Amino acid sequence: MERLRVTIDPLACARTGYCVQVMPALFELDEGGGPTVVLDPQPPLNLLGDLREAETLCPTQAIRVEAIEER
Amino acid sequence: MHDQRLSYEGTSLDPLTGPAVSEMPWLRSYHDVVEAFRSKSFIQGGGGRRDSAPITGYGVLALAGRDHFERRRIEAVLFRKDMLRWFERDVVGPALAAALDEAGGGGPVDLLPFLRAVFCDLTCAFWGIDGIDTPEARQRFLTVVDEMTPGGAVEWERGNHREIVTRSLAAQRRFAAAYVQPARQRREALIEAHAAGRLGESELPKDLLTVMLRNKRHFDRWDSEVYVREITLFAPGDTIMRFIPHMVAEIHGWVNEHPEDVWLLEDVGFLRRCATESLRLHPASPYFIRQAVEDTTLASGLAFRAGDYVVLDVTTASLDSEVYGPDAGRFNPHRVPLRKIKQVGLAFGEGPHTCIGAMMSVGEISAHRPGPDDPLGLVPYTLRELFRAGVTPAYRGAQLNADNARGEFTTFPVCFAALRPAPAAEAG
Repeated sequence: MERLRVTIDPLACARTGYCVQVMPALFELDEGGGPTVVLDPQPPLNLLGDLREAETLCPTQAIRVEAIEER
Repeated sequence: MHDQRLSYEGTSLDPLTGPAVSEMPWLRSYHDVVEAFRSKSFIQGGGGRRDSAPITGYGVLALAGRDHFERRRIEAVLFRKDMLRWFERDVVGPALAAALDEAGGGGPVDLLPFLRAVFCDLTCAFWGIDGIDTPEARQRFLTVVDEMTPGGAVEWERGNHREIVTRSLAAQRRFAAAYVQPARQRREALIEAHAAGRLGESELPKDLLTVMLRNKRHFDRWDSEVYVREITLFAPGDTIMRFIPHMVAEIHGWVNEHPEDVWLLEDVGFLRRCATESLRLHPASPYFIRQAVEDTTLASGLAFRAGDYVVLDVTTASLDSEVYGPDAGRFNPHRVPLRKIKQVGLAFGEGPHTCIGAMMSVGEISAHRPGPDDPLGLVPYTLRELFRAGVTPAYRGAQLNADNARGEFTTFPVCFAALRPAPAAEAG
C-alpha cells in the first residue's frame, strides 16, 4: 500500500500561499512569517491530483511530492 | 463584468496620477523588502495598477486575492515541467542552434538582436501568435512588440510616462488587430471543434491565448481588451534577452580570473548560479511599488498608513552586506550568503506575486534534486550553448539603456569562436 510524502524546501518557499488555497487542510502559512507548514507529511494517495496542482502552482518549486511504501 | 470605475479600489485604467516614485518612501534592506513582499497589508501598487494600467491593467500582476489566485491557477498549465521542456528543447533549442551556426566564426555580432531573433519563436509559441516564419515577418512583429512593451513596464521608465503609455497603447492596438485577432479567430474555431468532439485535446494549441479562451468565464469578468493586455504582460523572450549580456560579461570575467572554473561552463548548475548571481547585481525588475491596504508597521519599525505607497528597492536590497557579506557588490557564483535565504534571492520577487516564470528562466531553484527530464531553465541552457560556441564580449561599442532604471544593454557586441568542441552527447 502506497502513501505520499510531501516535503517543503524551507529556503525556497516564498510564501505565495497558493498551496494553502488549493489544499487548506494540508498546508498552513506559518503565522510567524516562516515557510509554509505541511500538516500531514504522509497524506493518502487519493490526494495526489490536488498535490500535483499545488506543486505546479508553486513558482519556486518548494513543494515535492513522492510516492512511498507504507510501513 | 467589473465596473472599471470601481475596480482597483477606486483607480481606473487611466490612473496616471498619485505620487511619483521619487516621492515615495523606499525600502532598501533585504529583510524589509521580503517582509513587504510577503505582507497581506500591501497590495500591488505598480504593475498594471498605476501608470502601466492602460497597457497591462486587470492583468495577473494587478490582481489581488481570489481573482489573482484564480488567474495564476488558469495560467499555471503553461508552466508545467512538460511545457517548459517543450519550450526549451523544441522551440528555443532549434532557433538557437540555427542562429549560432549562422554567426559562428564571423566578425562581431550584436548579442541583443541575435537573442531577440532567437527568442522571437518562444514569444510567439507562448502567446499563440501564428505565421511569424520569415525574417521579414519577424522584423515587422518585433517592431510592434518593441513599441508596445515599454508602456507595460513604464514605472521603470525615465521619460514622460503619459507619452510612453500613449505610444505603447497605439502599438498595442496595431498588435491586437494584426496578430491577436486572427490568432483568436483560429483558436475559437478549434475550441469549438473540440467541444463538438471533432478535435482531440492533444490537437488544441498549448499557448496563452488558447488557455485564456478556454477560460472565458474568468476573463469575461473584465473588459474585452483584457486578453491583449494579459498577453502583453508575458514576454518571456524579452525579459530573458535583456539580462543575458550582463551574464556573459560576468561569466567571461570570472573564468578569466579563475581559469580553474573554465570546465564548469558545461555545468548547468554552475551556470544557474552564475545567472542568479548576475540577476542579483542586475535585477530584471529593479524595484516594485506596493500600496498599504491597512495601517501596518514592519519589524524594523517603519510604519505605513492605509493608502500609502512604498517602493521595494530590489536593486539595493540585493546588495545588502548583512545578507551577502562585505563583497556584496562583486560577482561570485560560489557565494554563500551569510543568512539562510532563497538561492535566487529577490530576483523573482517574493510572496503571492512571485514571478510565475522563475522556473522557465533558471530551472530548478529549490534544494530538491532535479530529475533527468526536468527543464534546465532557458537562461542556463542558452548560456551553455553560447559558451560552447565560444562567445566572447567585444566590449567596444557596448551601451546601456539610459531611458529606464533596468540597467539593461541596448548594444552588446560579441564574437563567436568555438574554444573547444561541443561534447558528443548532451550533458542534459
